Amino acid sequence: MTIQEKDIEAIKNAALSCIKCAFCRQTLPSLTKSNRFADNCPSGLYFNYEAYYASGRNEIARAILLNEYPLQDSKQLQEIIYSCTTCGACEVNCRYISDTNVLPVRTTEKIRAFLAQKGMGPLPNQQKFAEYIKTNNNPYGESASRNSWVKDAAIPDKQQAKYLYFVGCTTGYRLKNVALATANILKFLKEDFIVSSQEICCGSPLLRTGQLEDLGRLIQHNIDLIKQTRCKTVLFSCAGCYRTVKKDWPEILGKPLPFKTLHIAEYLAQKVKKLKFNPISKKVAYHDPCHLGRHLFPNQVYDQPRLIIDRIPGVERIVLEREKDSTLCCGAGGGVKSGMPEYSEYIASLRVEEVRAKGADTIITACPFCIRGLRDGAKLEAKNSGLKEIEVIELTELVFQALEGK
Amino acid sequence: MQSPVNPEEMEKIFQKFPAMDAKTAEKMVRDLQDVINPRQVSKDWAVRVPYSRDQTGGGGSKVNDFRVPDIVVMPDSAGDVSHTCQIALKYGVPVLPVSTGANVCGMAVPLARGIMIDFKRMNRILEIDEDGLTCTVEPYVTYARLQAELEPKGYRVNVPGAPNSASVLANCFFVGDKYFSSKFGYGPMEIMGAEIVLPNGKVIRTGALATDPIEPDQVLEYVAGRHPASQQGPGRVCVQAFGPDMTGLPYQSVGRNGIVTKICIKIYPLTKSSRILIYGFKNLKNLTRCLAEICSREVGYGGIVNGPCYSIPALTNSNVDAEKLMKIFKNPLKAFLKTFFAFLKNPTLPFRKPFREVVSGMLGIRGRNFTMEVFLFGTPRRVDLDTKRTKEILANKEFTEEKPGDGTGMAKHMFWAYEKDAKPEYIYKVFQSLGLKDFRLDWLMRMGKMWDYNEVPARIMRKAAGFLLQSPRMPFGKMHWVFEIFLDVLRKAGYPGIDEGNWSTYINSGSGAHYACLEMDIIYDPKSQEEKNRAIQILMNVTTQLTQKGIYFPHNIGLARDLIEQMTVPKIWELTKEIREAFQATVLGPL
Repeated sequence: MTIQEKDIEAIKNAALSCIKCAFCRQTLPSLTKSNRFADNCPSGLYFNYEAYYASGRNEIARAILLNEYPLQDSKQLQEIIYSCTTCGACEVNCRYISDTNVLPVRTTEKIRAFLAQKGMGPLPNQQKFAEYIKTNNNPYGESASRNSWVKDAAIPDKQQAKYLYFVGCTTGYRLKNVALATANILKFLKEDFIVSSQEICCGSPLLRTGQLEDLGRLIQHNIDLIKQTRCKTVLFSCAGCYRTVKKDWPEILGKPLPFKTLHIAEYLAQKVKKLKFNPISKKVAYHDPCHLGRHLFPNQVYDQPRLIIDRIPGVERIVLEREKDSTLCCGAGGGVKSGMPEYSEYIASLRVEEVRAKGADTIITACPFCIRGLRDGAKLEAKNSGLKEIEVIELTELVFQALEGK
Repeated sequence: MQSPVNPEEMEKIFQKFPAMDAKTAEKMVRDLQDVINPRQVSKDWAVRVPYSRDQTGGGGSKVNDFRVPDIVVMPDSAGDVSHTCQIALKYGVPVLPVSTGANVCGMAVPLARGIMIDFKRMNRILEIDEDGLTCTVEPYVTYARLQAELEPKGYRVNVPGAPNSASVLANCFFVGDKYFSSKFGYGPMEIMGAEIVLPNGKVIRTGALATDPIEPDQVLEYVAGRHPASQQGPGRVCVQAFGPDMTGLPYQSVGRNGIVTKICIKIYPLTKSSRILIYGFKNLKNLTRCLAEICSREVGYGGIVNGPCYSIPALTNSNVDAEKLMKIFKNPLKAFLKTFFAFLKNPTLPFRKPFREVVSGMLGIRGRNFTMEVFLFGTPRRVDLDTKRTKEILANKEFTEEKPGDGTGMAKHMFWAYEKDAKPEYIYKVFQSLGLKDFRLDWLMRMGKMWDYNEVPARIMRKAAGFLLQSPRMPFGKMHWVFEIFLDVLRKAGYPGIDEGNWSTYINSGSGAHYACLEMDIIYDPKSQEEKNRAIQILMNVTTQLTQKGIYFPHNIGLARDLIEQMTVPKIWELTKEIREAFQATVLGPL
């Protein structure tokens, strides 16, 4: 899969349609609660220059596509294009003003693909994603069995079921507790589900970093696999996989998916009345993952996780200044965590700072990338503030804790 | 009369300013980095390109002529700005500041290249002085951010006509018109003091900031409330200035007379009650006479004139829906049937007052070519009294020969967040029943507060994104006359539907009956040179005609302002040039 001529034309149009209203740099004015927590563009916050905001990237896209300058003459071009976490905060605000074709995240992703084709990207650490996916079918280069945790969860060995739980690479290899918690909740609810060891990367890391070469193979393999299981619904605990399968796959394939998709937060919100939770004493703040919120426009999953958290006795949910559409990214998206770890941690620490300022002691989120980003951010924030580290927990882990009563 | 300004002439002037050679740029960067953090100085093209365009399209006269600065600097303090000015003077290159970048007409596009000062790091609200009713902010503080800090404390700023992503400092220094202007004045009247870096690098402080204890090169942490340095004593001085007042020096100069790094402005207590009145007129003259009378009697805090009746509800909708609305509103029978159908579809709503208000408001202004909004604020009693006085003016045959249509019921639910009984969801229900698809409730819920800071210019532009405007300042009494000249030029240029009111503009109050701001917008395809040329020519013709008749234009397309002023007001223009020379400004108009 490569970037098409029509994509280039679309980027040019988007760049020329940007009206420089400057709304992409901060929370929507009507939702702004303070000067301190008004910024919501991670790269703009860290690097400051206009070039690092969506409005600036639009102009750079224009300059690249109109061949205004030789690409090699810029030392900062890569940093500018690859520092976007693709969180979509700019895009949300842009929609309010310009409901036309200016979609900054899309422009960034396409320009990344364009640069990759020209040999100008991605960043060295991000190139490894593609290499590992080619050899090991996951971006971490793990050769071990993807779902080694399945034994611990004692999931019944079946070929067919109502739900297929698509675990995802980050959850399967790096956050096995989340996978276990999800499986245990499904078992608790006596749900008919299976997990497949044949599942491979959904393609999200490649799409976000503009490395489109291997994408078609990944999508086709996974679709064939899901068809084989005859599951009608695919469940996700990873927001990144969910967004990629739900939004990107149909667009790339040019046709609707032959199965339904559901995130575990949406599933749990449907079942929440059946669940009997034990009390947990925590002051929590919910962090909206970009892939579960803004990226799913107009079907953002905002209320469901909050509904679940609010049902757990003893848990007090603190409302942050930047929530839902205004959420500040955790800093880990768009390949930034591997490409520019220092900047990623700084952004996460700012998010943790907001949580602390509002009086919460725990962050709940529903995305493995956010978990990893925010945990690193919590360490940095604790180091800077000299205070106790804020705890970061995945939604399914919290739910399972409340179900178990631990 | 033919305008002296044309794209070819502008092109010749641009050619005087070629891109800086690599060696000089390298040397200048090193000199700048002697004082400024090296990370905050760049000559990389990818960093420079984003400053080449503004809201109104390409910086030059050609659609693809993007003017790129040679070097970009991000200062942390007035000290950094001062150093930048000194280096610019040493090398004889121009300096241009940009705050939020929500600019028009090429004001913050480096037409003469040189050094771009990007103020994004100077984003602090330095002080909110509740005793002196002032606040002090840096250039990158937007209206949204400042208002968010003021509201919980029970204060507000004078709401600008610009989008709330605009810089408070830049808007005030650029004669920004305000929603409360008819009572409190326009942009410069808000300013209590300023910190100004002159073109030669000298830092001066004026008015309330004359006694500011903070050093120019001091980088400050964010301070909520009063700054510790001024916590003792009576607070800021309340006089405009000691000695000759230099505060006005940078007005409208876009950084050429001096770069403002700090501003102290007035704040006001939040109003207790508010109301927006909307009236539709068939005849523009009737509307402007009524509005002039409303402003001269100081009823409320100003008024706005919009285009056709559908333009107000269209603000909350997508482009597709705006077109549907236009068709519905143009056909009164259809509008009536559709809204009546809405009653049937929502059986729980018809007996509710908000629903009736929304429907009657929409029907009230249907088919009208021009709509007028009047903003009322104050105590509930004052608002009621002003409503009554407005109605009296509208019923007076001396001012209007027609009976204006009343759309006020709709306005309450559509735009106003502070209305206690506003029910935006009722607008949603009505619009849904009218078959609008892209309409979203949360837009409305938020529009209430967004309208507070006015998103109109940005929304007008959303369709084509190519956009040019002229914004003359004039007495209210001359509004209709100015409109006629504008429309006459449009007619001659062959724009369709002018006499049917198929255009949109708005007038904002300036300062009571003395001063109004009329925004004349022309939208063009951002890729069409022909369309852009035509739009430029129209605005040039209007500007030249009106300037010669004493109407003032604070900004213009690109460098045209200078050229027109040079021709129409040569004495004032020469004087401005002399003042700039006295402070060693590196670029004198026209460029």
